[in-house]
Amino acid sequence: MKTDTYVDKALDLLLDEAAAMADKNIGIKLAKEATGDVEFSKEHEKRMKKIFASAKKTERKRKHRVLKYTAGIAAVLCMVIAFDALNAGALRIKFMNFILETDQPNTDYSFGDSKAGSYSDDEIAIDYIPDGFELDTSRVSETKIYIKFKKDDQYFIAKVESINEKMSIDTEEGNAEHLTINGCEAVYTTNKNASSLIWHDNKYVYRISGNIQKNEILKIAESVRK
Amino acid sequence: MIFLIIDSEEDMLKTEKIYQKHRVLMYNIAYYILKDKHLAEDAVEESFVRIIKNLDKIDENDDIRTRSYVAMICRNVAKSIYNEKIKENTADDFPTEADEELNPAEIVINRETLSKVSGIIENLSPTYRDVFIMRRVYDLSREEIAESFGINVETVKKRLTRAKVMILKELQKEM
Repeated sequence: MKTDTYVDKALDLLLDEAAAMADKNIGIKLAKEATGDVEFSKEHEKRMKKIFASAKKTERKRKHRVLKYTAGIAAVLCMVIAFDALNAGALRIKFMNFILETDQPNTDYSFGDSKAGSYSDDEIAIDYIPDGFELDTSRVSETKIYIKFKKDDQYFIAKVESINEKMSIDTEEGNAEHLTINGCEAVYTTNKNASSLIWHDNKYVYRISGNIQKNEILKIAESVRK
Repeated sequence: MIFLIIDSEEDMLKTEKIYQKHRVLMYNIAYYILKDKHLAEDAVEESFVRIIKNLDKIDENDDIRTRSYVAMICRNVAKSIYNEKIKENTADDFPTEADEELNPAEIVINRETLSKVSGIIENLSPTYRDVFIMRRVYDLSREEIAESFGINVETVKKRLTRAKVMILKELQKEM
C-alpha cells in the first residue's frame, strides 16, 4: 500500500511537471495565432469598457467595506487622542495598537465581592451579571483591572485600563458596529472567536468581551461603574 | 493598526493590459470556432468576465503562460456559445468499454518520460487538455474550472480522470 502511495505521488509530480511544460509549449505556438488585422466593433469596445468599469465598482465596494471597518477603529483612536489633547492634566497617550490577538485567560489570585447578579470591589462595580455566571479570575494593578466570569463553556471578561495602555482586539474576519454606552461612543466587534465592546470615558478604556450574546454584553457594559 | 487596504487600480490596469495584448488571439480562437464576428466578440467579452474572477492566477508579465491561459478560457467560452447557438450534442468522445487496468508502477519516471508526457498532453484534445492544465498548472479548483469554462463540476471531474487515463495509456504504448 505504501509503495503504491509513493508511486502515485511520483506520478502526480511527473504529470504536474509535464503539464507545465506542455502549457509553455502551447503558449509559444499560440503566438502565431495572435496575428492578423482585427477591427473590433465600437459596440464591443463599449461593452469591454462596461466590463472593466463593473469590475472596478465591485472592487471599490469591497474596499469600502474594509475601510468602514478600519475607520471605526480609527475613530475611537482619534477620540481618545483628541480628549487627551484637551485635558492638560490627563495621562499622555503613547500609542494604542489594535493588534491581532485573542484573549488568554490568566490564572491569578481572586478577590472582590461577587454577589449573585452583580460584582463590586474597591476599583469597579458591575451591576449586571447574567444568571449562572460566577467569578473565575480577577486581577487589579495600578493601571489595569481584569475580571473574568464563567458559566460552563461560556465566559465574559471585563477589562478596564488607563488610557495610555495598549489594548488588543481580535480583528481577524470581524465586523464592527458603532454604538453608545453610558453616553460614550463605543465600537462593537464580533468574529468567529468572540465579541468585544470597547469604549472610554476620557480617563479609562473599558472593554467587555466574551462568547455571550450581544444584548448581554451591552447590558453588562451599561452597568459598569468605575 | 492593521489597515487592510487593497489597491484595485493595479488589478484593473492588469486586466486592461491583458486585454490589449491578447484580444486578437482570443478573437481568432473564438472566430475559428464560431465563424461569426459578433459571436466571437461576445466570446472575448464573456472570457474577460471569467478571467477577472481569477486574476490572481495570471502573471501578466509572463506572455507565454498568459497567452495559454486566456486561450483556454476563450476556447471553452466559444465552445459554450457554439453549443448554445447550434445546440449540438456535447457528449465527451470516449470509449464506452471498461478502462484497461493501468499500472503506474510500470512507467519509468525520468527526463525522457517527462518529455514524452508533455508531448502527449499537448496532443490531447483541447476538451480534456484545457481542464487538465487548468487544474495541474494553474491550480484552479474544480468549481473554478467549471465556472470559467461554463460546464458543470461533474463534467470537470470526468474530464480530469479521463485525461489522466488517456495520458497513461498513451505513455504505456510508447514504452
